[in-house]
Formats: sequence, structure tokens, C-alpha cells
Amino acid sequence: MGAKKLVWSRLFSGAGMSLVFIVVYCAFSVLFVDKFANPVNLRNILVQSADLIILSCGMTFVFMNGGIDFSVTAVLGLGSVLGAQVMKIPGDPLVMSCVGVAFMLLLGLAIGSLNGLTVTLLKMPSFIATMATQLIFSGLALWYTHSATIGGVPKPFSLIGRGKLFGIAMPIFIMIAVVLACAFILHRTVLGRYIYSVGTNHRTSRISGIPVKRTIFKLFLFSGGLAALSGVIMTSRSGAGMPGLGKSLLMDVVGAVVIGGTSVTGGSGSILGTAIGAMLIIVLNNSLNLLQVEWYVINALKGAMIVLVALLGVMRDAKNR
Amino acid sequence: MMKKVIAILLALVVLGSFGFAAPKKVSIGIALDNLNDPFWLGIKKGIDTAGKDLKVDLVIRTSEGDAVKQNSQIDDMIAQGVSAVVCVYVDSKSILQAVKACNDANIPFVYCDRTLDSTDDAKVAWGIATDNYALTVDGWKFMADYARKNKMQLKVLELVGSLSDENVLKRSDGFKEVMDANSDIIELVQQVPTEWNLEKALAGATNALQAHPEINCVFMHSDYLLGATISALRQAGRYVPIGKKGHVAVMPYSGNKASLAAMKDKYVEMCFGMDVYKEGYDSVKAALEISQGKTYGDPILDAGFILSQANFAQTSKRAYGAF
Repeated sequence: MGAKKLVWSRLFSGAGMSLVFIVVYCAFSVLFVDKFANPVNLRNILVQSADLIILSCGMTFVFMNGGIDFSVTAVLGLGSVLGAQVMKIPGDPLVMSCVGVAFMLLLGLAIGSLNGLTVTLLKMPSFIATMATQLIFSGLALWYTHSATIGGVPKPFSLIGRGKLFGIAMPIFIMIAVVLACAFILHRTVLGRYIYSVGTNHRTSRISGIPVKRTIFKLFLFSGGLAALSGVIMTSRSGAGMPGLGKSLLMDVVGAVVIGGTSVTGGSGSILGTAIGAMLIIVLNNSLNLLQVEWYVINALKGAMIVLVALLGVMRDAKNR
Repeated sequence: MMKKVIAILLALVVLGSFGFAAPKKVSIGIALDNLNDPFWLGIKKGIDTAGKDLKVDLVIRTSEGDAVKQNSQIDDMIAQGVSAVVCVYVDSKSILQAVKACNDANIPFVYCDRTLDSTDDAKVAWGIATDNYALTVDGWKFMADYARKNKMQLKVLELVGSLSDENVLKRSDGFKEVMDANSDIIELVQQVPTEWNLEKALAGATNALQAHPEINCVFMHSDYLLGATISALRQAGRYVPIGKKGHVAVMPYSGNKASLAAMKDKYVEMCFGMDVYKEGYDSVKAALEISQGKTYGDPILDAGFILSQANFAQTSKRAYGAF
């Protein structure tokens, strides 16, 4: 393939298209949207995109196998209220913050494990398995709190979501670390190769000696763990444990993964693409908000964008075949 | 070719960062919980009118009941340089982070409809809301008198809103106080948590009416739930006018069009009326004036009003459903 052809093929890939789109969109927003380029607004965009990017990275792993994880919102809600409750146990605020964060992460991993076991051992489709866990654990969060929020989280915990390091908001550092770690796992490790292979074809992967079930199990573990991490940031930013935390985020997460070029049938995609997709959704929200566009119009535009990108992906796949 | 495109884009970006800025106007950020119900539209009507009358730009955002989103929206408003923020908050605890952000940016934070107390590090400038506790007590005292006059034993189904909503807790507390004082004629048969969800309200009310046919009074925390309640009563064959056999006394909150229509048709005994238009209008006015240096006193707790069959002709005009 010639260099010129390679450039165009990269641009035509999901991540490439999203990158071009976000650059052009940002350029127009700087020009025509008042206060878009304001440094405080740009900082807001980055901070607000942190939890969506982290959640979407987890979802990308599950998408790579042609699956979906509906339970991420339940991980957010249940983790948020139980974590806040743990942190309210009398003790040193810093220690209790660490215990609370560890508890939230372990809970996310436990729910991810449960999803992984249900999908691999019981051979249940992921959308049914994770829908069931979503209903169970979000119901548990509501039952536990009677839909009330739990306030009074310790101050050290608030630093995760609202603190700064070298003048840069903490969530941005966490988000960059997660993106780099996930990209490394997916593109530079044996597990990453396994994930692409299993996502492309289970049977041939099994014949090739790849531990298919173990690989799929790990995908759900990643998704649960990263949802929990995102929940830590969101709970910290809100300063309270909320049973309905992130309840409206699922569509944005799916949108970010699809816009980022990950195939809904599995086997292809990238973490960088997902990060760009998530960023695009946040930039779109932010700029249209600044333009005073109503929320239902924003939702419709996001929907249209997802359809457009998915359509281009289908065309690309058909061409490659 | 590609280089030219990139150069043009960059030039546009640079130009944009220097020029084309709109002339500065006073703007007030309005952070709303939702707009999915006539109640919120009633508040918004007051807000919009104040915006026009006072000639200020309103930056209106709706969070669709998402507390995290609401905090992000207020962060965005601060970045936009609003002079003050008026907020109908989603969650009384998480909104404190947004209040702190406003304090840090030296922007007054004014609450509307839901009361919020200042904390050591989150100072609320002012606020206006209905005194939900007092209004509920007044309404239930009215109903207790009505029941005594008509020799009724009230067996109550309570449709509860979201427990993260301070107003809901106050409405429940007000009801409990009057019930405890009139335990000979008022009995709570079942509470249904609806989380302001119509499907949950319909299913909960339907099940409760089936399981407890003795229920003869429905107290709902908002007339947003009235449609679901009427459907459940119809299914149970209990939606009959006042005075007819099998009638269930219905006590909605706020005073929207549906409540007024049901009262006019003599299906509903009373309604807890709220001055939501005034809340919206006054909160914007206060936010503007505080941002300009005027000092406001304590937040206002509006008493609301009781709308009954007896005063319907005169008082219904005050309800926002009549606007």
C-alpha cells in the first residue's frame, strides 16, 4: 500500500474519521461558539470527559468480543452509595477514603466477575447477563438507600474528583493513565492479541490454543473495574453517594465506543478511537450547550452522529471484505 | 492540498480566539432539574418572564434529573461568565459542590423551589421555595376537618416522590404530623415510592388498590402523578365523583391543569397550591440584584395556598395550571 493510500485508509477508519471530525468541529466551535475557547471551559471539557472515557474504555473491551455491558450503571450506583457509606465509618478520613475507594473498586471487579462467569460458564448472551445484573444491583442500591443520597464523604476523597496536581485536575491524570494502560494491554500484550482473535472468531481462536473463556472473563473484569474507577471519580466530584449515579450515561458510553470505530460485531477497534469518540460527545454537548441548544435536540444530534459513524463503519467493513 | 486545508483551519482558530466575541451582557445561569412536567414549565414561565422584564440573558440548562450532569452544567455556566446562578437542584447533597464552585468564582448561588442550607464551605446567597411542611400540614388539617364533618375514616395511600428531594421528605413529615394528631380518623395503609416515575406510580397504585380495597384517599406528592393515579383508580372502578359510592378522595400537590380540571369536574376534593411562577420570577430578580450588590435577607418560604371545592372559583386563578 502506498503512503498516500495508507493515510486515506487511516483517515477512513473509525478513529481517523472521529479525529478529523473533532478537529474540524473544535475549530468551528472556537470560531462561532462564544466562550468555547475559554481556558476554564476547556478544562471543564477535559474533566467532564474523564469519567466517560474511563467507562467507555471498559466497554470497548466487551465490544471487542461483540458483547455489551449494561451493568456499568449499576456498578456506578451501588458502588457510589456503598463506598460513601463505608467512608462514613468513624476513623481517620484519609484511611477511610482509601478503604472506601478499595471497596468500590473491589465491588466493580466482583460484579464484572459475575458477568464474566455468567457469560462464559452459563453461555448466556452478554446483553441478557448484564441486563440482569444491572437490574439486580441497581435495585439493591435503591433498596439500600430508599433512593436517598449519602452525603458527608471525607475531604481527602473529594480530592480525587476536584483536586489538582501541578494545576491540572486529578481526573485528567487518572483518565490519561487509564487510556495508556488500556491501549498498552490491547495493542502491546499477548492478552490484547487474544482479545482481537477471540472477538474475530471464537472457534478458530480455540483451535489455535487461545483460552477463549478466560479471555472473555477478563473483558468483563476490565469493564467492571473501570466502571468502578469512573464511579470513584464521579462520586468524589459530587461529594455524595447516589444510587442513580450515571443512570443516563449508558447511551453516551455506547455512543463513544461506536463513534470511536469499535465494531459492534467484535474483532476490531481501539482505545484511542474510543477516547476520541467520548471526547467528541463531550465537546458536542458542551458547544451545543453554549449555543443554548435544547437538550432533546442535542440527544437527537448525538443519535444522528452515531448512525452516521456506524453506517460508515458498515461501508468500510463491506469494502474490506 | 492537505497543508492548505490545515493552514486555513489554524488561521480560523487563531482569528476566532481574538475576534468575533459577542458584546458583553448580564447573563444569569438557570440550572433546572427537569422540564418534563407542567410544574417545571410553570417555574420556567416565571423565569422567562423575569428574563424579559429585567432584560438579562438567561443561560438555561436542564439536567434531566441527573445530579452529576447538573454540577457539570453549573461548571460550564461559570466558565461562560454568568453573573449569578439560579438552581432548582436535583440532589441536596451533591449540589453543595456546585455551590462551592460558585463561591470560588464569586458568583451568587440562588436556589429555587427546593430549600438548601448553607454549610461552612458552601454559602447560598438567597432562595425562594414553598414551605412544603407548613403547606402539607395546612392541607391535611383541612382534610381532617372535612373527614370529621363527613364522618369519614381516611385510609390513605401515599404516593411518595424521590427521597433525594427535600420537598418530598417535608411533605411526608407534614402528613405524619397531622395523621398522628388525628389517628382516630387518618390511617396510612400503604406508601408507594415512585421516584417520580409514572410507570412505578401506576403499578404501585394499581397493586395497592387491589391489595387494600379499603383505601379511600390518595395523597400524592405531586400532581405529576395524577394521570397515573386516575388510571389506577379507573382500573379499580374507583374513579367516581365526590359523594358517589366508592369515591376515593384525591389530594394532589402543586396545582397543574390536570388537577384543576379534576377539581372542576368534582373528582378531587382539594389541592395543595404552590406559587411556582412567583418562585421562578423572584429567584431571577434576586439573583440579578444580588450580583449587582444589593443585599437580600433570609430566604423566603412561600406559604402556598389550599385549593378546595369551596374556594375553587376564586382561588383556582392563582394556580399555575390556570395561567
